[in-house]
Amino acid sequence: MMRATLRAEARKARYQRTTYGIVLAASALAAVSAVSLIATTQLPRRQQLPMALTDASTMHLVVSSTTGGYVFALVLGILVMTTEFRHGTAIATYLAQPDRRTVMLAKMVVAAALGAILQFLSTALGMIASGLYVQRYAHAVLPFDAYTRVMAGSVLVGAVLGIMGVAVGSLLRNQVLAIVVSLLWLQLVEGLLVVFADWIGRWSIRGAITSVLDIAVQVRTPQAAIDTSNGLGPWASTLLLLGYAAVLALIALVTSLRRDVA
Amino acid sequence: MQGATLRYDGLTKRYGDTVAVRDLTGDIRPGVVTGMLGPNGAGKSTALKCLLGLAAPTSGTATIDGVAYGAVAHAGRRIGTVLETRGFHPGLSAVANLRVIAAAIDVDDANVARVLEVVSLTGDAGRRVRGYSLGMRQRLAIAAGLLGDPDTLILDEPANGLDPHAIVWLRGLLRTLAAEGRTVLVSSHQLAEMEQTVDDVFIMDHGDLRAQGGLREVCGSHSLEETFLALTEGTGR
Repeated sequence: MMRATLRAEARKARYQRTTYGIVLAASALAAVSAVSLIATTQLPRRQQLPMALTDASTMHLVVSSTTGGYVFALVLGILVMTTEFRHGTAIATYLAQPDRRTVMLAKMVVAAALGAILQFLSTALGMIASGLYVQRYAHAVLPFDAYTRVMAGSVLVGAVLGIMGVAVGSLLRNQVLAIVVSLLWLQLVEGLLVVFADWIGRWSIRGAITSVLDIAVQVRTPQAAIDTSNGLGPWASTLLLLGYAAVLALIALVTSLRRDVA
Repeated sequence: MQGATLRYDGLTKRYGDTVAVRDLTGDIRPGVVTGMLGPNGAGKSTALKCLLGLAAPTSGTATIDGVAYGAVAHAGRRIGTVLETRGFHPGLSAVANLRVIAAAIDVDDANVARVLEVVSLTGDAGRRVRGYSLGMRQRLAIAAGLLGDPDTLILDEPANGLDPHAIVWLRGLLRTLAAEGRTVLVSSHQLAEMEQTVDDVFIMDHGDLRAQGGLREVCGSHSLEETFLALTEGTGR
């Protein structure tokens, strides 16, 4: 029955227009981020960041900025779960497949695939857009060797965040609450914690994501607010991120086994 | 076709200090239409949710052919359900909603067109459910319940929102399904309609089972409404 549940979950994602809207939004963000970063280097001297397109670190940063849509992978994962409770379709889901572990696993597999696809498409679009835009500047040197590794890290992060989204959605169930809490945690709380104790950064989810994306690029650009020099390193951060996803998934599973559906 | 025997054995369900169902015991047999009747808050829906594994009993059991819903082989196909709280994605068409369920219970997509025809929604099948009336949503819920050609059908207030013609049609459908040997359990508070539909009754009030058995056996020479009101602290008898 796992196959049937997987097929049903895939159909839900395929039929809903929200899925395509989120992928488009992530792609637009990735393209705009990378292009605007290039443009920033060409501002009048007093306004521009101390970066140059001839600098390898700057160009690595441009490439890694194409992965910025990863927050949308988390949102997609949250929607995979919370849409069920928002519209009352969770009842049909659990009646069709009473084994809640199977339902949870199928949702995580589909959300991981969606997150990976989202990151692949948005990162690819960001790379294409930035690659085309940078052609305006003859002195810019594109770090082609970084592309494959950045893409691999991006797809991995997308898949893991998709799983984490399902877990968060299962725990909170309220769609708006789940999205707001997740974004606040990633964008605000972890950032504030780092202000008080910078060692927390390397153990935070956002720090781990930054380091995983650093599999490809050894960015040392504190001015651009991405300083991974104190991170755990890409492979340890990958394990840390997978560990967070596993713990969240386990808590979500245990909780879902105990809670009434309706 | 042989439907399942549904059994409650000392089922109690509490939500905090509130007892939704207290010590419910009884059998629902195949080949007849059984009505689970009671006023709002009687515990009917909770009893059905416990039977379907959507809510965990505080004590006691609710079983289908001797096992919990989760242990029934191909439960999604064998047990058709029409629940009041069951929703559909409003942004998807009826066809898309039913195709998702068809995939989940592992039946062929061809069944989607079949059940939409049964509930007379073929002409509106491509419209988004958001634009459906209450009656159309209810017919779609019935279509979803029939998708797997189930041997057992469990319906919670299935006549809600249906017009008189559709109510008569539903009555005929339930009688036909029961005559084929299937198990049909209907929860409702529409007594006049139930009197024309059911063979057996469970009458519940405030979480307690007040009476159960054959309709004539429970009501005697009185109407179902009179019996119901008397049993649920009314003044009819």
